[in-house]
Amino acid sequence: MTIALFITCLTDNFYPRSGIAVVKVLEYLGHSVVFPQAQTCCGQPMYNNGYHNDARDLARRFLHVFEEYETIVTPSASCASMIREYYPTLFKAGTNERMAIEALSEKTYEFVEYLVRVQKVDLRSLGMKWKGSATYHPSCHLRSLGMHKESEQFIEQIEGIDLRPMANSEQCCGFGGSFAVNYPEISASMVRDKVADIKASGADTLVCNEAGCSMNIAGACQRQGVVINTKSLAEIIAEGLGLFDSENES
Amino acid sequence: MTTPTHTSQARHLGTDREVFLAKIRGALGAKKGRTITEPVPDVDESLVRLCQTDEDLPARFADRAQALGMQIHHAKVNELGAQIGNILEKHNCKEAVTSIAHQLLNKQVTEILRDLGTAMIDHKSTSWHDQQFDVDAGITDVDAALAETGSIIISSGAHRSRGSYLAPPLHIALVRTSQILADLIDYFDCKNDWLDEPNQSATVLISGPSKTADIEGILITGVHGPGMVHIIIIDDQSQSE
Amino acid sequence: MTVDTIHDKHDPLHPQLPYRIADSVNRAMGDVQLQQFVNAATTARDRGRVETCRDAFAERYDAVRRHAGDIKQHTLDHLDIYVEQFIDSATTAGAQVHCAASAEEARHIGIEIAKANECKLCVKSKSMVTEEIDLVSALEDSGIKTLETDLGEFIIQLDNDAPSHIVMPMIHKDRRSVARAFERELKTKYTEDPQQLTQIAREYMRHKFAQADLGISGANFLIADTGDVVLCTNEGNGGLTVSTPRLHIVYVGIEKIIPRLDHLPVFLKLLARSATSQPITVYTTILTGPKRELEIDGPKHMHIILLDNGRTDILRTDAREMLRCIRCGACLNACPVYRKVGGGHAYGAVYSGPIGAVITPLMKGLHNYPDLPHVSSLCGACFEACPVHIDIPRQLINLRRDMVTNRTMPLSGRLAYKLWAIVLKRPLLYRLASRIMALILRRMAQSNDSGWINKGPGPLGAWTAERDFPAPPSNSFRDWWNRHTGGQER
Repeated sequence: MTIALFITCLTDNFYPRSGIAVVKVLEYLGHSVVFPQAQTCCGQPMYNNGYHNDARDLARRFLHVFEEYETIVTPSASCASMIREYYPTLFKAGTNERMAIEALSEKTYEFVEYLVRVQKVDLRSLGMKWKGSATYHPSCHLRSLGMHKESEQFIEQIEGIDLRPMANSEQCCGFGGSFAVNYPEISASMVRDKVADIKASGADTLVCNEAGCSMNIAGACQRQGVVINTKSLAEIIAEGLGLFDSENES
Repeated sequence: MTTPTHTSQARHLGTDREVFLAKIRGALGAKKGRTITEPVPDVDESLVRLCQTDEDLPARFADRAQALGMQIHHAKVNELGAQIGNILEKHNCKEAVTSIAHQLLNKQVTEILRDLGTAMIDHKSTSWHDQQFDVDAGITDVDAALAETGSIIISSGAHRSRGSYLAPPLHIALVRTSQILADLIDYFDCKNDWLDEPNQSATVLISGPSKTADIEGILITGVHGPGMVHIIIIDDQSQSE
Repeated sequence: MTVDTIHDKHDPLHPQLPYRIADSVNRAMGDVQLQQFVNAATTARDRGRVETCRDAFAERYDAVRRHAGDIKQHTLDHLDIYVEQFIDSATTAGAQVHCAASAEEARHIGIEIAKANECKLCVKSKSMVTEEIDLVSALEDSGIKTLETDLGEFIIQLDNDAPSHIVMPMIHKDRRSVARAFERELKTKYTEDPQQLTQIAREYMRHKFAQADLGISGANFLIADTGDVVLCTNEGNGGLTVSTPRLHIVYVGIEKIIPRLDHLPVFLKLLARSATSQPITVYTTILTGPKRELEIDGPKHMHIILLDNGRTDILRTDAREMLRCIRCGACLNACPVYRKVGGGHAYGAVYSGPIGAVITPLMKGLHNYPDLPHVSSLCGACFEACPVHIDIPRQLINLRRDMVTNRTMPLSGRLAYKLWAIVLKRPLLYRLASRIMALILRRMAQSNDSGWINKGPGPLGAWTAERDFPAPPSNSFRDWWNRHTGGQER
């Protein structure tokens, strides 16, 4: 099947390795991946901060760029939920545009969700191995996708992984987009709690599939001198399948 | 109800009813006199029901009531005296108020208390209003009980005072097994069928002793209402089968 | 924490407007003990909610929340009809129903009724609506001594403090402050034992119940077709409040109506589980008018004061779903921000936490509470906890939208987002801007070899105050993709 990849601005610019892993895993599973070059941003910053006319324009752009594809996959649950939950609310019910947007919503998936729910991938049957201790931060937007538990169960399928429980794992890391700069004291205090819980888990690697959370958590770890690898699940799967071969990819 | 009182001048305080309703209509873009055209959502039992009618209701009721912090006793009708006596003695109760709608049961309990020598406080006397806060125990029957939660349901009336189950530190409730319903749904579907008197003003579902956790989240029982609730389950069904 | 606020003129729930949150945030951030206290209490309650609800409803939990939300939404969509029906049926049951358009009118009605009945002492059970209209001080000013009988509210009244949580009003106070208040105000022997403190309060208030000639309560639900008033309480003070005095006044918002009595179990099953992890509150009291002639006790007269006070303004907008709220406090317990700001006082209004962040600006004006819609990471924990399925994050976003539309947002912010949007709408410009940004960030990170920026200008400065910001790697995903596919434009 041909899958259109929506890479998202943060993954494109800050976490390319995670995006590369998504491509490699999807290709490994036999899909053909395309990357529509005209894509920019889903418009979530505009939407969340109340600039809904601009968000609507960006939703229209997104529709224009991705409409022709059968399936759209993105590494971000946050952007996926923007498209699925919030795009439709920007358009009047019953209009053609709204129906087109709803059709778009229905074929847009977060990467792990796509593997688990659509492809029904079982990592045990792929023969992947990944050695190391890890703890998992479920990003808040997985709530709206209803993927909290499933993501964790999916990780548990990885052979060799030493998955450490994280206390208060479901609690927000404090990123929240503009929240992190509008209320930096509260945001920083939240991420300090998160870092403490990660540290207490004793894991070497933090599995985090949301680029925004990763920036926040890894940035706080860096400041506090807490040494931990932050990786997306796509990277772990790609590593476990030996898909990162050449130097400049990893 | 048209009891003329000295508060009747208060009837037209505030905003006129029609003006008030017109503002709500305005907010909804609705016209006066409109009716509900869409179906009123019915309660979806498949989602909400938590106790099936074919469960062992007395057993579940006893189990849940206990979990709520109430103490359960079982008695046949002829053992009632001993049970009540034990409870009153254990808690050193010298006086009690009976608040029982079921006539036969009322007669039995009255005799039991007379035999025990417990002073009986009359809630129909004029001194009841002040007395209710000093009486040691209140003994009531119930309208119904719920297996789902372990709650007992009591309505006010000509024979049951509200104070009798709220003010004393100890409440003894007499529940007949035939009164135990499965789920809250079953009760509220036909609340009026379970009333001892058709025209009454208050029904209360009691689910445990009075509780508070206001101080540092620490659970304390007996803050305003009874700190102890004893339920005597009277089997009135076995013989008929 | 928990300073005794005796005769403090500053009322955190009725601050000077417009209310800015910065001071409260700074104060709370400096009070680690208070943070931990609120954190422990809310986290425990939130876990309790999840466990009890999962235990009861299993995988149906979400569907039950939606179902309850649907029933409430239907009621709100037809609220004109149901309010009218309620007024009629409650009147038939013997209650006198009054309509109050504003807080001032609601206070006035209650005071007039109390005066006409020559009431001197009022016992009051816990009610958010009476907080909303600031009733107690108005009663006292009219010479009606008023006693809060809920233990938490009683302690707060003794301390002249303000409640900070919808369900746990004194979540911000510890046992020592209770001990001090009782010793000071009730002249009892100093004790920190919660059991003994509770006993002191019980003894003190029992006599007051007997003396009181007026009982004031709120209501959790109103039943349109029967005129019933439903009260859910745990302590038993609610039951005594509505039984012992000769007059009972109910203060209730119009949004508390549900169509029929058979709808009640849906909400009873959710309310206590969501609020306090109980299957049902200890006392669920259903009142159908005042004492009947043959009945032994109960109030001779029952007055119900239906309150609008801004509710129809909410009803009018796309925030209508906010009125589904059954005041369980689950969203407060679930909210990481509520925990950080040390509880409800920081929200500068009676309704706090996520629910308050939406309804306070709606009821009192966005221009008066411009910060509240923004003090949220939009994490969605509140939505997940809400028993009537209110999409609180979306409502917060809608308020942000309204602030952009009515230009409450500062011009600089509006311009920045405009510029950003212009870039995002043009792919070539977007790519160019991304490259330039990456270059600048990498340059900034060069001052240290870590690949991280630890001091940035402007908004980045807020970020880097307590955490680093990553510099983008030299190759973006796009660069890799173009190599991966041999530069094909796809």
